[in-house]
Formats: sequence, structure tokens, C-alpha cells
Amino acid sequence: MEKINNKEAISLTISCSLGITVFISSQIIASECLSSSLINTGFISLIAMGLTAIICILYKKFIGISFLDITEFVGGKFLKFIVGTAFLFYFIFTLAIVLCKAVNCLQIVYYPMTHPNYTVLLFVITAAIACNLKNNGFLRATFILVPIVIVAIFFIFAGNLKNFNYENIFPLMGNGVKATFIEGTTNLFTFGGIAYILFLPQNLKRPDKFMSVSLISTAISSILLTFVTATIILMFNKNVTSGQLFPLYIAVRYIEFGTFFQRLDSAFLLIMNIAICSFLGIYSNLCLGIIKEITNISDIKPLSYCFVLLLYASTILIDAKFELEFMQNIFFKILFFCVISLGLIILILANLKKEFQHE
Amino acid sequence: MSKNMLKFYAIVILALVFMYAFSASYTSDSVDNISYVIALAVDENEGEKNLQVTFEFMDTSTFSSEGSSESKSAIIDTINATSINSAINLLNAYIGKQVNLSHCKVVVFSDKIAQKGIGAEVSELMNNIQVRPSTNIIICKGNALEYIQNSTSQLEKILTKYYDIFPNSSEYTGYTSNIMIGEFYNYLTTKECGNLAILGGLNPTISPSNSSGNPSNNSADGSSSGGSSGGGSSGEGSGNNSSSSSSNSSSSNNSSEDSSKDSSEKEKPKEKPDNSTPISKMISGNAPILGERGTENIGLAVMKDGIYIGDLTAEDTLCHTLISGEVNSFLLTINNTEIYENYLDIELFENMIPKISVKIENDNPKINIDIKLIGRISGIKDGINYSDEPSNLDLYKISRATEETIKRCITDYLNKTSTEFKCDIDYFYNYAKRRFLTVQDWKKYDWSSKYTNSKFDVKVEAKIYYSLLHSD
Repeated sequence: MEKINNKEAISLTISCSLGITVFISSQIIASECLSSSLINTGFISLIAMGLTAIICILYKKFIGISFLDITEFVGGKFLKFIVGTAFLFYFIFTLAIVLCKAVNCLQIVYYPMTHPNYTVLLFVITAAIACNLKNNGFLRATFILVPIVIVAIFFIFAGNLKNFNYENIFPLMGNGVKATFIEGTTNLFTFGGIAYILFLPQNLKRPDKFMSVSLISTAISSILLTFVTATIILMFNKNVTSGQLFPLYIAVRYIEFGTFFQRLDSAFLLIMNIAICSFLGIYSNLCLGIIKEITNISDIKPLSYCFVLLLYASTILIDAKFELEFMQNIFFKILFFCVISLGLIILILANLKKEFQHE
Repeated sequence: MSKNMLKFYAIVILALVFMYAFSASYTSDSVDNISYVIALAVDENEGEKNLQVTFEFMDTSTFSSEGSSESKSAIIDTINATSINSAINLLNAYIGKQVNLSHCKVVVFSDKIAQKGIGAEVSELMNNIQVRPSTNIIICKGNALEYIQNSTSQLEKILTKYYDIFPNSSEYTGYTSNIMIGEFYNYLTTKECGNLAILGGLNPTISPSNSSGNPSNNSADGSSSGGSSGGGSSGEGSGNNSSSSSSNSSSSNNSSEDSSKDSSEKEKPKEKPDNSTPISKMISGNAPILGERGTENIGLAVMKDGIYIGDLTAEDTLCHTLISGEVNSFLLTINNTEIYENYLDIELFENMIPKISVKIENDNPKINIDIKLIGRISGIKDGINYSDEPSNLDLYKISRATEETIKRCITDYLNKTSTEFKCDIDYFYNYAKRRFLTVQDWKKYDWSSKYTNSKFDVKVEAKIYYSLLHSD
């Protein structure tokens, strides 16, 4: 991957969290925390900011060095391979689960007669094209697309203002303090961008700006999560937040400005489809980068086709063999905490090792 | 084989695969294969199949290029089935096109079926991706089929537009409310409250000919049975299908005999409405209106757990819309002989959204409502000298009388909801939730049973101005 500037890095990191926020986590937060969803959102946003800051501080001694090289520094090539594989598994799982959710939604709304596998194939081909674009074409596309998605989310919030029931934020503590602040911490998985941040420094044109880039992107992701959750919580009760379609899409269906400006759901779904393509492009490139680092293959491009086939198989497997709700509610959260903990432990160990070497 | 040729073949094969895969969805959603329903009516069927579902379509072939001055006829088909989805399935087979509810503007349930509960039907509709949350929901006094047959207005020839605008009067009369299925479903699934639907009824002055489309009278008895949907749902039902005219337009299938019958019956003198009905008792079907529109929408239907339990009169509905802040302006007639000997018409405007708070006193709710209004005297009936501008004292008296009248109405209405309907239809539970910290505490309180012991403290502040444009 070519070196990217700060703005591109911010848009990439936001995009990584956005796919998870819109399709998966906002619905989970709303159904688990009920009326305290906004408090939970604020709480996990603070934790995410803290976590990002810790990662940035731990990275200070390794400016411009890739995370997997740091891992090799800590535990040799074997550890690098293990950690690389773990992150690879997490990123492929993230892609598969978001793709699954998006495709299921598309099937319900637009393609009732088409088998979801074909729709998955269509997205996977887009990912393959994104991997093979020269000059990081998908980066430029993401840079343009992310502001459009942000505007769409604000528009959905503003367009539904008249439909909001502001009393839905009561009782303030929702399912209880434990559910909001202890069990609710697991909702941190919505910040998928934090895992991406670990792999960001070596791609930055100005690695010294790593901290500001990371904090800004986490802050913007938090704001977006707050708006998405607020739209859902202020509009619906629990029954609507546990449906098959992602609730933000249902919220768009309520937007009407008189009899002229109606039915904006098609436009929203179009934007979200392009956003998924961008999401796939980012994660696929990242995965190929990890494969390249752990295998030392000089030209990774031909492997992109094998990778997208793996992605295709994973998505179909999750869709066909597993309970999607279990995968996104439990397994996804566990996986996120495992990889983030692994990342932090390695960074801490690397800092300690460097400290000992100096002594 | 060169690399480029390989790429070319791969692209062609993929294109063919996608063409094959997505053509089925494209064909099913193609405009040519779809007929759009604009209104849906659900009646009780006394036979084995417990629903009689009526679909209203626009006959788009009658649209003229000269504009919209001519009335467009509607096509009405009725199916007897076990569920709405079964009826849709059977209708798909009957009309040869796929029924689509994307443009469905209203769903009408008859009072009989609503009394048995419509929760399942509403849930069925809300889970249909085609049904928009902005579709209006109506509970009709009498037959729902007759309601949509007579739903038309001489003032709005395009039926879809008529359905779009008919509930708008809630903003300037307060005698109805613009209740949509999305909102209805949201409250249907909330245990703490009851919910409301638009109340519809037939205008008693309308000629009987306009309700001749009752399938029991003139339907082509084309019963069919069996058939399962592509989606796997069982679609059993016998089909009573009729194509009949709406009240002021003729269907393409109507015979000339029917038309002559219609015209002869239209000439009959219309039944005079009972003009003694006060707004405190006025609901759809008994309003003192003599007109061409065959239907009325005055009042609201009260539902509890999806079951129709009673009506809100025009006055009750005005109180409800005042509390919810839906009504922007309304007319109030004051009949207070201490101020004026005769009636006094005052146009009132809601100054700000009412302030509502709920306190828990002795484990029972105490609901405070603070309403602020401004108004102007829009008419004073003969018998008094109105050539002089009323003094400030008079305006003060009128303001107090207005406040007293509205306060009494609202208190009566709220007592009716807590004692007669025994359910919270003004959604005060939203405000009560503030008093609890967790959902568990809130559920433990059991609002729906405590609401029946509620005490209401209504404060109304009205400032009345004199604003007659001319005085003799």
C-alpha cells in the first residue's frame, strides 16, 4: 500500500468502524441497553478514546514501524505468524459478518428471488477489483465516500426529528447499571477502527501525526455511533430493534417532507452499498498486507483472488451454518477483545523489551 | 490462451451468471408485472375463512392526457381468506399481476373485526417490506368494503391524493388525528398503553346505491381454492371478486344496467342528518353533514392490546390532539349566558406544546397538564350588540370561560380514559418513566394497572383577542 496522508487515514479508520456501527453494533446496543443506550454509547466512546490514546503512547517508541515487525521484535517470527494469523482471522470474520448482514438486508428489500450467494459474489468481486486497483484507487474512493455517509447519517437523524420520542431515554439506566457499564463494555467491538489503527503507522506519510489521526478518527466514529444509536432509540421500541433489517434502514423509511420528498430508503441503500464496497476494499487490502508480512511473498496481487475466495467461503459458511445472532452478539465481541488485548500486550512487552535493551 | 482473453472470458461468464441470478428478482419487481394497491379493507367473514380482504386499485388506463379534471375510476377486488397474505396470494393468481402494497395509502378494518383484535393483521402488514410506515390506519363503523367504495371526494378527483390529504384536517379541526400504521404498531407492541386509530364511518345521508359493491350482493362468485405462495405460505381461500365503482365513479367492469340503477337511486331524496348531535357525542357516522362524500372521519377508535374497545367523540379527539400538541388551531363555541346570551365562536391556537409531567403520589400517578392557548373571537351570533368592541373586562371573562370550558372537556376526557377505557391513550407513561431508574423498576410499577387510579390536574391558560374584521 502506498503511503497515505492524514485525511485519508482518518477516512479509512472511520470507514472501518462505520460498517460495523450501521449494520451490527447499533442494533445490539439498542436491544441490550434499551433506554440507556445513549449512556452506554458515551461510556464506550470514552473507553475507545482512552484505548486509542494508550495505543498511540505505546507506539511512540516505534514510530513508522509495522505492528507485525514489533511482534517479531518481541517474540520472533513464530509469534509474528501467530499474531498475524489471529488478526487476519478477526478481519476476515468482520468482513464476513458485515457482508452477511448487508446481503440479508438486500435480499429482503430488493432481491427476494435471488439467492444471497450471488449477491455475496457481487460484493466479493468488488473487493477483488479494489485489491487490484493501482495507486490505491479505493483510498481515494473512500476519502470521497466517507463524508457522504456521514452526511447521510446526520440527514437521517435530522429528517426524523419530528418522529422522535425524547422520553425513550427514560428510565435512564435502562437494563441496570451492570448492563450499561459492565456488560455494556463489550459493545466496544463497534470500534473496529481501533484494530485497524494498530496497522496504520507504517502506512502514514507523516507517522509523527499518528496520535492526532487516531484520536480524531475515534472521536468522529463515536459521534457517528451516538447519532445512529440516538436515531434508533428515540424512534423505536425493543421489538423494532430486534428485527432482521438494520434499524437505520427502517428509520429512513419514516422520513417524509410533505408528499413530494418521500421514499429515501433506496438512496440510502445505494450509499450504504457503496460504503460496503469501500469497507471490503479497506479490510481486504489490510488482510493482504498482513499475509504479505507473515509469508514474505514479494508480489501479493495474485493472492488477492484466493483471498476473496476465502472471504466468499467464510461469508457463505457463516450465513448457512451458524446462527448469525450468536456470531455477531457473542463471538464477534470475544474475538474483538482477544485481538485488542493481544495488540496491547505485544505493545507493552515491546516497550518493556526496548526499555531493558537501553538499560 | 492469452491473459487478456482469459480475463474477457471470465468477465463474460460472470456477467451471464449475474444476469441469470438477478433476472428473477428484476422480473418480479418489474413495473409491467405489478399492480399497485392504493387501499386495503379488512372485514370479518362469517364463513370458514375468517377474513374478507378488499383491495382497491387505480385504473391507470383511464388517466387522460388533458389533466386531472376527470375523476379516475377505482377497481375493487374482494377475497375471502384466512390472512392478508393468503388473500394477496390468491389475488395474484386472479388478476394475473403481482400485487404490491408500496403505494397503499390506507388500511381499513371493520369495527366487527377490530373488536376481535387486529394485532396479528397489523403485525403481518408491518412485516411486509412493501407497506410504508406512513400508511393510515382506519377503524370503520360498519363495513370496511363499503367505506373504501365510498371514499372519494368531489373536491379531490385523484384518489391517491385524496387518501394523502384527508387526515390533514386534524391540524385545523382536532376532530381526527393523522394516525399511521408505523406509530400504531409501535404502541401496539408497548404493554403500558392503549393505542388509537382513525375512526371512519359512512355518511348516513349517502345514497344506498353507493354502497352497492357489497360482494354478497353483486360479486361474481368465482370461488377458487388452494394454491400456495412462492414464499411457501399457505394461501387457501375462496375468492369473491367484484369490480365495482367507488361512490362517484364507474368501474370498468360495471354494466350499463348497474349505471342506470345507480343514477335512478341517486335521484332519491337524501336522508336528512340529525343536526342535534353535539360535538361531545359526534363520531363518524352520526355527524350532521349532508354531502357528496360518502365517508366521514370524525373521532378516533380506542384500542387496547389490539382490540377495539370504544370511540373518542369529536370533543374527546380535540382534547387528545390538544394534549399531544397535534392540533394547530381549532374552533370552540362558548355557550355561556353570563357573558353573551348566545353562542360565541372562538378560534384558538396552541401557543406552545403542552407541558406534561407525571408524579407518583401514594403509589398512584398524578398527571399535570399545562396548556397555553391564544385565540380570537371569530364570530358572535345575532341577538347581542357587537357593533362595539368588547371591553377588556369582557375579554377577560371570555378568556376565563374558554379556559373553564376546555379544562372541563379535558378533565372529562381524561377521566373517561382512566375509568371507562382503563388504558393510557395519551401516552403519559412516557413521562412517568422519568421517575424510575431502571426498566426493571418501571416494569415492577405496572403502569397499565396504576393508570386507572390516576389523578389529573389540568391547567389551561387562554388569551383571547378581539379580531372581527367588520362590525356593523
